[in-house]
Amino acid sequence: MNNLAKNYLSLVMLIAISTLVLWSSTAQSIERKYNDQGEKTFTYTQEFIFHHQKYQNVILSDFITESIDINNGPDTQLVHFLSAILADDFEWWLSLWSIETQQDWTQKLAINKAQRTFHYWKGRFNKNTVAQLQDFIVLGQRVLIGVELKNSASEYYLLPFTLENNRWRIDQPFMDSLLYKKLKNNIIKS
Amino acid sequence: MKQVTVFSQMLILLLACMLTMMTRSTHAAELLWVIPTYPASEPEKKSLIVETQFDYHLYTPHKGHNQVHLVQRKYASLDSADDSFVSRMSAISSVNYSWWLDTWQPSSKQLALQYYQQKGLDQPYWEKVWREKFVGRKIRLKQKVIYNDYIVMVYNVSNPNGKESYLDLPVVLKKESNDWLVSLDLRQSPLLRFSPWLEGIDSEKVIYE
Repeated sequence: MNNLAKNYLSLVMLIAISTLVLWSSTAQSIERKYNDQGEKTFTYTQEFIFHHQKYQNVILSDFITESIDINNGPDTQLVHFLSAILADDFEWWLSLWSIETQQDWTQKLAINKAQRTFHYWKGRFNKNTVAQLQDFIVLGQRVLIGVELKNSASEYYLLPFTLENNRWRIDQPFMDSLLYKKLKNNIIKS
Repeated sequence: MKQVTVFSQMLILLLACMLTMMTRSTHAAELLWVIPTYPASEPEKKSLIVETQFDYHLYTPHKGHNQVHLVQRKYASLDSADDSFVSRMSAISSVNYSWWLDTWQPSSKQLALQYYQQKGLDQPYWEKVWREKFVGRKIRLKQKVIYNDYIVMVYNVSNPNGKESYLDLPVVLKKESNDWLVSLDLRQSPLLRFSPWLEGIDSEKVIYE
């Protein structure tokens, strides 16, 4: 064994011993000061009561061509959301999302999150798409609207709306929650 | 006459049925604070259950190790959660605002200071609170909880007579750049909100209507 190999082996052993001593002293320190009560589990159960209404054969056709600042209910706001896509008006479309969503997208400016999402929706909805309302769900202070977009295939979207300054806005962070995912599964299966 | 009586009874029954249906319908509509603009079915009440499990490790100090011994700043350290906890308590008990600021995780400090500014909770406010509630009191460490990357130190500040107060308080610490610093990361976590270690509970259910 040459000198270099010996030195390397010594260094590895030194690190291993130091780690062991450090771990042992930390463990002893905890042992000396504390009683170990062991691993515990806490289960938090949330039961959410919601009200579900099915739309009765509502195919949307009352799209508008420019932004109107009015509170006519969350489903009308969904019509405005689709109208902004038809009008190819990014600023109007962006204004229909919650402040928190817009702030989040501002932080993600580098990846152009807002524009990418707008283009995603433009790919899902155009003048030939049939938009049929499906579900109206009231969940606490939120309303979720289910809509089916029929192109060559059918896709279901569940958009959560919250009131901000007396205007209905789409809440993107809520769409990342476990509650939203479970609710969507529940509605699709019902 | 008999026919009139039967007719009256049928009319009353019909009215009763209509009234019941109207009441049900009104009741359903009353439940909702917002309604669809387009034609839709009657609202159906449903529920959804979301269950979250938190695993943590609990330690309690041995007898004789629960009294927090305060230190001067020059002897303080942030090397371990225990040391940082002592630093935090020492900063507060010696009414040293700048030392107290240095015990915060930077992101949490920014969040806390923004909130305090909105509420008008400035340096003189905190110094007054610390003089009234901490200076000269005994601080006892009650529990140490390890949860993921966080350590929660649960402590009690005594009454002026030296006896334990009714309230146990948590301080959450997280290691950042080799220092254990006070963190607000768990401020919305149900684990901290319910602090199950205090009463030894293992579950909690909340219904949201």
